[in-house]
Amino acid sequence: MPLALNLLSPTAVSSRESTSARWILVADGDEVAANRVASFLLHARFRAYPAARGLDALRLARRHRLGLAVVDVDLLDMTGCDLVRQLRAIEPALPVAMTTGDYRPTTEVEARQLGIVQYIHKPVDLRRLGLVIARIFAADAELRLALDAPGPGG
Amino acid sequence: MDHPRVLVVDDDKDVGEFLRDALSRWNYDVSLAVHGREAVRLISHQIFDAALVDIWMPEMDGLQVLDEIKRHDPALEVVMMTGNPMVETAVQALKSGAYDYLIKPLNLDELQHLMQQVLEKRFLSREVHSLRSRLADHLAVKDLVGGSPGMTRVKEVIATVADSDSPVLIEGESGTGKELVAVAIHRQSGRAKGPFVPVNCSAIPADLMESEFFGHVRGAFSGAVADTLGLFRSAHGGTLFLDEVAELSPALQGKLLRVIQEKEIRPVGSTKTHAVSVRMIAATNKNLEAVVQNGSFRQDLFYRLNVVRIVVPPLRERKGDIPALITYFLRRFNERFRRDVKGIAPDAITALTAYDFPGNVRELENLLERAYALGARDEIERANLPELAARSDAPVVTVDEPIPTLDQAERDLIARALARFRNDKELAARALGLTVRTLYRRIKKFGLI
Repeated sequence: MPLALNLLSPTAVSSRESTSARWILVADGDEVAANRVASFLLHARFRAYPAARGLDALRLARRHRLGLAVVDVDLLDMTGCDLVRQLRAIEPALPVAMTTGDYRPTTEVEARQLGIVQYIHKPVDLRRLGLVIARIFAADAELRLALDAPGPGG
Repeated sequence: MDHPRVLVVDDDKDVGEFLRDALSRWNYDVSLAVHGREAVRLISHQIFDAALVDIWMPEMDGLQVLDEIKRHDPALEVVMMTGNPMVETAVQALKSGAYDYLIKPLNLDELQHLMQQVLEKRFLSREVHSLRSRLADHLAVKDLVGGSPGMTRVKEVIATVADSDSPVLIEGESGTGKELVAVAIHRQSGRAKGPFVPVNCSAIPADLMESEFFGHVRGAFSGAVADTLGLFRSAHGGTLFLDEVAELSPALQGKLLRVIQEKEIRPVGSTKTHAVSVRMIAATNKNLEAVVQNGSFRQDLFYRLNVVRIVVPPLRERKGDIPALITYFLRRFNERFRRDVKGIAPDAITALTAYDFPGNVRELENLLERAYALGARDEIERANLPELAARSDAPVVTVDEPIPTLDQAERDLIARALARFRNDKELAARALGLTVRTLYRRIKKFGLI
């Protein structure tokens, strides 16, 4: 199905399908860390994709509609914040959870200005990430249904 | 690279033809309009790089055309032409945003030189624009597009309240651009140099809200490996934008109220408080007053946030902005898809204007993006757009669509009823023919909260 169709015909896709059809990007310059989070997500039956390079992450985003991006501040070829800006050019409403092993406050201030849903110090607390994911995919389903319902007076 | 596109507006056909010949020889793509109305029609569905406009025309004069062009696309450079060199007219043209003016009879060398200048400036600014969009944050390129009375009013209120430090409540349907309004307020305020921190309250799990908003200290809970600032302290000196504020948990509403009153926060697990200076802008696609009435939003917090209220009109109430929005999005998508879509076919624009856009500007953006994905090349044609029928209540079921299970169908129906009645369980239950108790059970079963 062409990528834009999903978004445009909320009635044609049940919310359950739309959830599993969306990918979760896990970008982290530390491949071991990316794989750890991605395999946790795969076990939870999400379609997760680990990437150590921003360019690989962007390639995924161009091919598949992302439902969430878990992005570390440090990637091999660019900063996590740069990646988020470029991802948002493709998918403006993309929810992003930012991870980092850098505990400095300035890093947090910069990340939060991107409008992220969660700021997570590493090692990533998978229980916490699970809560975030549950919340986002529920919100996503609601948004689709709200779009489906006629607005007031409409 | 393909040729720069120039619009020539002159009621004298001979002058028009003369300019077309000359400009074509210099490799410009020329479109002619013999009166103002035709020019306005052309700019509404094509993107031009420059325009040459005669000042003296019957009906709509050149200055009016200039106004229309600038209202539609402020980036389009306009050169005025006049056969009657009066300083006043020229001054007025430049004041209204014209790039320059030429005196008839036209001197070809002068024209060629001027056109080069105009386009250099244009391509230069385009370059700067795309550089900026790559470097600065993604919001920098998004502006509030449109000159309809509704949007003009919104812009006026923004200008009035930006400099005060009072909280602002932005109401508007999904996809109307509430965040852009918040950004505009921040940018025009004394806090513009400080951070703008947006947060979508509906995306944060209730259990994690407190530590997201107020931060935590190391060891506050398992997994808290270091201190975090949280949203408030990250926004210190700037603006905190609470999107979908109606979704805040009741517990957090109380804490938020206290922060607004006391201007200090206490991180989770800490005994110390920290003073914060943060301007709050809240937004919701609900009628927050109604949410207060049904008891899921604190009235005292509502009063604190609702010092200034801005209502962003839905797109169906400002359809006059549709052409300007299309131009804006085509420019962005051309850049992103490295395509050169020059405009939109008249029947496509008619179809878009007739549509109600329940998803507002975001839906328009999606429709155009989809047209690119479906291969629109030279211009967006009607065939690149989906059926845009008035939406009916019945779900659209196509032949090859998989039949949903009863559970799925029931879940979707309940969710739709809740959305329709804005979460009013009583009304939703009545519409579905269920008791409120049964509805609550189903809501729980399907995890619809």
